[in-house]
Amino acid sequence: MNIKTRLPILFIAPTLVLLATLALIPLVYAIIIAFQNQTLIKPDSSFVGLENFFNLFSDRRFINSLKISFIWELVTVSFTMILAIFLGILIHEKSSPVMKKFLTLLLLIPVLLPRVAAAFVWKFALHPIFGLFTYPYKLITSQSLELLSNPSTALYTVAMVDVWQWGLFFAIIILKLLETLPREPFDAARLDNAKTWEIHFYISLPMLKAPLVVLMFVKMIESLRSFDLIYVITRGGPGITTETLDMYAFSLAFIENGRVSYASSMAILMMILTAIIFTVIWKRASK
Amino acid sequence: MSRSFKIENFVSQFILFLTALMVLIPLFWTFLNGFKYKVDIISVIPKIFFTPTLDNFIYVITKQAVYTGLLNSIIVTGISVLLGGLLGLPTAYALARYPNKWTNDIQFFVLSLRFLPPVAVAIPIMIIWLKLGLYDTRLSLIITYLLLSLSSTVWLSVPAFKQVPIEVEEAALVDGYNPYEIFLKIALPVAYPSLIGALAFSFVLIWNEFMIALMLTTTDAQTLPVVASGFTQMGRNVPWGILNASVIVLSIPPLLFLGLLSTFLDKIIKKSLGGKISG
Amino acid sequence: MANITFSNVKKSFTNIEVIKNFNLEVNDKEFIVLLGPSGCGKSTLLRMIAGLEQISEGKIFIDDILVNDLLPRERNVAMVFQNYALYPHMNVFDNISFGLKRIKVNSSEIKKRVDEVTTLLGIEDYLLRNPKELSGGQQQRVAIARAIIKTPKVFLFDEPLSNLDAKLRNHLRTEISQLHEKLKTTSIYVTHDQLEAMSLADRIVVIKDGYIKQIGNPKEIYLQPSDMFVASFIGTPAINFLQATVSDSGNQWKINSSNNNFYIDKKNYNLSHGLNINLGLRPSNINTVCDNVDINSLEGIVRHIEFFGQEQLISFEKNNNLINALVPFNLKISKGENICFKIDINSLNIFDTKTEKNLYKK
Repeated sequence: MNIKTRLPILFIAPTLVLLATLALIPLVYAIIIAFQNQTLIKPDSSFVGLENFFNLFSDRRFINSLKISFIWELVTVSFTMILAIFLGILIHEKSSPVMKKFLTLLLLIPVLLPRVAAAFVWKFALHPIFGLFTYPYKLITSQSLELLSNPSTALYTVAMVDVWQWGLFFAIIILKLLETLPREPFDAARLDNAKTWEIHFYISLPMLKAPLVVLMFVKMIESLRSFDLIYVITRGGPGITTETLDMYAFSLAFIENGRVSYASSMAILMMILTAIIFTVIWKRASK
Repeated sequence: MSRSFKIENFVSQFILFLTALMVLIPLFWTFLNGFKYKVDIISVIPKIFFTPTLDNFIYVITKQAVYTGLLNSIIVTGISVLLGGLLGLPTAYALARYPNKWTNDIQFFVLSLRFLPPVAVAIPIMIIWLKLGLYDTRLSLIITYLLLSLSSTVWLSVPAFKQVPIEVEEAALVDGYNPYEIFLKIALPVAYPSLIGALAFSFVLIWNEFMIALMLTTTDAQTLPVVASGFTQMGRNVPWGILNASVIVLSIPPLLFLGLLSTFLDKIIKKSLGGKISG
Repeated sequence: MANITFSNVKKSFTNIEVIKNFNLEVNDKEFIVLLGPSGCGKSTLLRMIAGLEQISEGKIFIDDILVNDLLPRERNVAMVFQNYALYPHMNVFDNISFGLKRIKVNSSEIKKRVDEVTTLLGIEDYLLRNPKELSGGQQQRVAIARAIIKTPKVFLFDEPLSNLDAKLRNHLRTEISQLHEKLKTTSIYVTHDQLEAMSLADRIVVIKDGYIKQIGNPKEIYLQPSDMFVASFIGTPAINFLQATVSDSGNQWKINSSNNNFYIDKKNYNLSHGLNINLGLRPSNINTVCDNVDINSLEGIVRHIEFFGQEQLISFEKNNNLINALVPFNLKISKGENICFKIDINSLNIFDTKTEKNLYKK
């Protein structure tokens, strides 16, 4: 075996083995656990077949978490993309070079922050008693600002934090994407009776369709990792109005009697669901 | 015509200004409150003028739990990134320069790992570490995080290596270098800026990671994000000043990479997408 | 009436002045070529007419209307770009009709007009294709169609043929010329190719470093270039320059260029005794062989011969100067031989060495 075939094996094999082990063993074990009735309290466990999965479908809290996760995905992805496109275009068209440089750095900060830090910054700023935004809000509307303790607004408030991190970051990405576009079709469009927003609607955005779809995909996957934000800001509350799938699974595995098997079955289901949905969307987007 | 243009301009600048404020104000507020005594924080009217104190930061850096959290974060993140680089960079190079029939599948596999919901992996891993007696240790965290650091390092470094001009490597081959030397002495140095970006990205990813750390640690191996969130769960007695201070300390390392990652972002977008769109 | 007036137009990018006090009157229906080397500012001028570039100082009028503050889409101009600038994600039909759709022309009218222009340009079969499926020449025709369909007052061409291969370039150049005959729209055409300029223009504006060097029809520019720059820029093969001095010789000037003497009538040139000049001689004017050196002749040793088909380019050396002569293909000559040419005095261009200006009397 000469060097040419030896090097790739030497360079790739360790990583591959490691990754496969680290990924597949837990996965396989997760599936095994899902068919058991393990909890962290009792040391022994036995196989219960598909019992966990059946229980899921009659679990009101599970159905709720599905609903919450779905709303979360919808709201965060769509608002992120809309904000990012709107801001990206606005910055591209209307800001001076100095302002552009400044905003490019500034708008990258929220997404670099640890999720828990971002969560905390806003939990603090929106605190019903001494939050930064609470006092002016009270002055203007003479009502107290209770976004996070109000069941109908809590989820959207946390979603706002998520969009704050990702929407601004994507805006910069879109800004840079706009800068890669060749200038001439835009010159031609300006002479072709197109107003500014028409130019973007009919020319730049269609030309950026591929990267935009990729961005949306990335955000869809990221949104599934909402745990950090929700855990710190609301812990799934008030009630279960912000309890997404992963929050519920975590709650089950850690806080409520360590029902790891049940939680695992939920996680497996979540994985299958997302795999199916994403494959479908990916196939449709690829054509 | 120029009057509505002026209005449009004004509204645009205003919106941009508001956007900047939406980032600056909450962050600045947190920063400010890191220096306040608790009594100044919990006032209904937000206080801009107050007597500053360094107590919160001193507490953060010296209190056992926080100090441990910081140390754990540094060690765990540092080693994970390092190991990820040590193993991942050669892998990325081999994938970039030695394509074969499995290359695409391997890359797809690495990419698909990013699609794993953490909770699905975390629960069984937690049980495994429990059974192995390695629960709540830095070692278990490092090994678990290798999944993250390896996959992101490989994913981001393959394009970086592909951008090294092949002619330079071929010239070195003609000059008598063997393939290993070419990797070490040619590919690595030339791709260095992009690779640093990839590693910085890995660092930020792992430093910020919360859920897995939360599930795999309790007291000994807690990373800083976990410690910080612990403060928020103290009900009435949340030490807001200390919390603000620890959030600031927590956020500094990732923000140090702001400039680097901004340039890195530039490179990725302009180089990998710049050619494909104008087509 | 689509005349264009440039009035004291200046343009600066940060601190660099690119266009310096540009004044020009373009008449209705005229085909004007802005000719000059890369970086001379000609494209910038074009973009200022279109409104794609702001004017730093001065005024531009189209059809006697001041356009300085008008948006590009309000100026009623159309532009054809060097790299076609087609909308890559739209097919040919949508590319051409984009402008009309934006001003809400109804779809039957659009279809009619698209059919007209595509038939005119011979691209009516490509309506549903995407730009990347077309060749360079076809893409440029689509771009021209997109410009024509708007029936603008002015056509602007920004080096539209530079990206095409030589054969296609000739072909499209003729098409553009024919289009202008047909449509008679005022056109401003930018190029660095003097052959394009000569063949297309009613008048040529030669530009260097943001200044106008000369304005005139192709014949004037070719036969009476205003200075050495214009003389060397126009005409292929390039003009030859010989250093010489002037001396008074009764009612003629005697021009001496290292042992060769030329006698010219005083009435045609503004010369003075002792003046240092550069003689400009086009290779095509050096073609008559003489047997021995005499007045009004040049001689030297043949160093290089290039065969062009109907003609040959002979490079001969005289006093360390290499002079090019364009002679018929059947002239028998070989390298190393002595050669002597009789010069037609009337074809001489005389330039002041210091000012580089042409010294002919107008």
